[in-house]
Amino acid sequence: MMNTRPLTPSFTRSRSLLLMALASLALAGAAQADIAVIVHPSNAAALDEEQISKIFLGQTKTFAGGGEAVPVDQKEGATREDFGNKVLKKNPSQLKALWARQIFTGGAKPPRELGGDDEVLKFVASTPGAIGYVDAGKANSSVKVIKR
Amino acid sequence: MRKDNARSSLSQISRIALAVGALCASGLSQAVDFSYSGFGNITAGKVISAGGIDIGYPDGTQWNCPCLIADFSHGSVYEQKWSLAPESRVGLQGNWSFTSDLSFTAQAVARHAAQKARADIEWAYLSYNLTPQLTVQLGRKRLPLFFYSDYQDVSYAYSWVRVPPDVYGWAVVNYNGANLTYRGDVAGWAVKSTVYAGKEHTKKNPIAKLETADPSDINWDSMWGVDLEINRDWFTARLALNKSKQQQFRGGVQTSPDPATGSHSPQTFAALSFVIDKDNWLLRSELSYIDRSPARGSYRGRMIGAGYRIDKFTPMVTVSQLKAYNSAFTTLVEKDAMTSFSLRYDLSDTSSIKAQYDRSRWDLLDGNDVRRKLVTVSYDFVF
Repeated sequence: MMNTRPLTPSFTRSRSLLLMALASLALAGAAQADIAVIVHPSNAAALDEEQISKIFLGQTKTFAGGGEAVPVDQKEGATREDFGNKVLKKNPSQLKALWARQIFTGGAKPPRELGGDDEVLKFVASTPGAIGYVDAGKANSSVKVIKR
Repeated sequence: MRKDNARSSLSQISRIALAVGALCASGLSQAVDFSYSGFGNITAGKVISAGGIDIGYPDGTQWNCPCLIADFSHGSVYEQKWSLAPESRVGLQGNWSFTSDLSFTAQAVARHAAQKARADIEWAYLSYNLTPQLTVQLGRKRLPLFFYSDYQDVSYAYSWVRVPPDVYGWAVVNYNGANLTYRGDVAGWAVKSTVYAGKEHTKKNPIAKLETADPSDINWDSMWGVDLEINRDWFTARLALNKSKQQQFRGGVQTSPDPATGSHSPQTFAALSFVIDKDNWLLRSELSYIDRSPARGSYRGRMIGAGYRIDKFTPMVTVSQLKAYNSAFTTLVEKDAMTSFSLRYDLSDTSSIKAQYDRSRWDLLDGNDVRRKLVTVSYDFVF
């Protein structure tokens, strides 16, 4: 049955409060540094978040087109944690436990770690199969941004 | 209770892998990329309550019972006094990469389970990537009977103090042989599948020691297995099958199977598990099926655990059960059950502390039972 009752003032007020809360949450999110996932400019593979996760979690070693993927991680820090939380949807402890399983069962090896945004940019720009992530503000034309 | 048993020795195939690994490492020393990692846990536990009857298992001449067996495979037994010995351990793993596709890995684990300090080579294998999806490995590895089998020593990697002993805890935990693993993306699912073949001969098997101090050797020959694990986002499922032919000796005399029936008896292990890790919810479940008919008794096991992550804390409730059947797999003869309340606290990205309370009941189905309560605290780490 459809609800034909008009919205009461208190309902509309609580709804606008909710909208305000959501808006401030979104703003808070935007205030954090954004992450750009980058590949070599020649890389034509279309990658969604799920495929990026699989590559960074060692579940697959190839791009959708078949080329070998060489993921590079950043040293522990805010950028790495942001990438883990937003793209891989895992916190540092979850990631560490996942890699402990891989490392101690003879599974995949964790991606190589580089020192920071500049090193990742340089590596990705010069390695055809590379995929990495940097602070969105640092991404430049030497690489291709596939997700921001 | 498990009337079954083992300990491990390096077979010829693992010796070859070790030798080739050492040769590669020495011959290509400039080109070799070496890395090491490790894990460990300091775990203390105590049986705080005991009821029911004394069935003499584990063996009362070796342990001051009433006791609780926390890990059958390694002979870890807690008594009514605090002890660090049964489950504390440390593992060190070295990896030598000769090229981006060829590497050698060795892992040694030291522990004092089964009342004896020992360090064992749990892994020693050469690994070669045939393609980005296919890897072949040769040597000694952990036997992946169940979901947590091949990393059950790395307690940092899971939320409990230990894997549920009702499902885990069989005579053999390693194998020497070869395996081929596929790892890739199939229709959006991360797929990992391994086929393997090999054998394992164990000396002074710890699970047999639970029964009597007389050392027993257990062999699993003509072993092969296959597993398939699929993962998408928060959902993981795994199916595993392992078949082998077992034999046991005590003082050089074959004790299983009955020598009149032949040198070996067949056994099949099958397991199905589901893991859900969504937002802050955790669900872990596993079903096991162990068919050892017609020579020996068979089993069905199951485990389900649910937890909820609250920041750095992960409380979890887990129930497990093992049903033992007669050799024809027709009559239920014993029901073992355990309920566990565990709490994990992530101390850092590489360490955690845990506390666990277990209630165990072995129902002998004749009006008698064996009841135990155990508390354990643990500090786990990886490096």
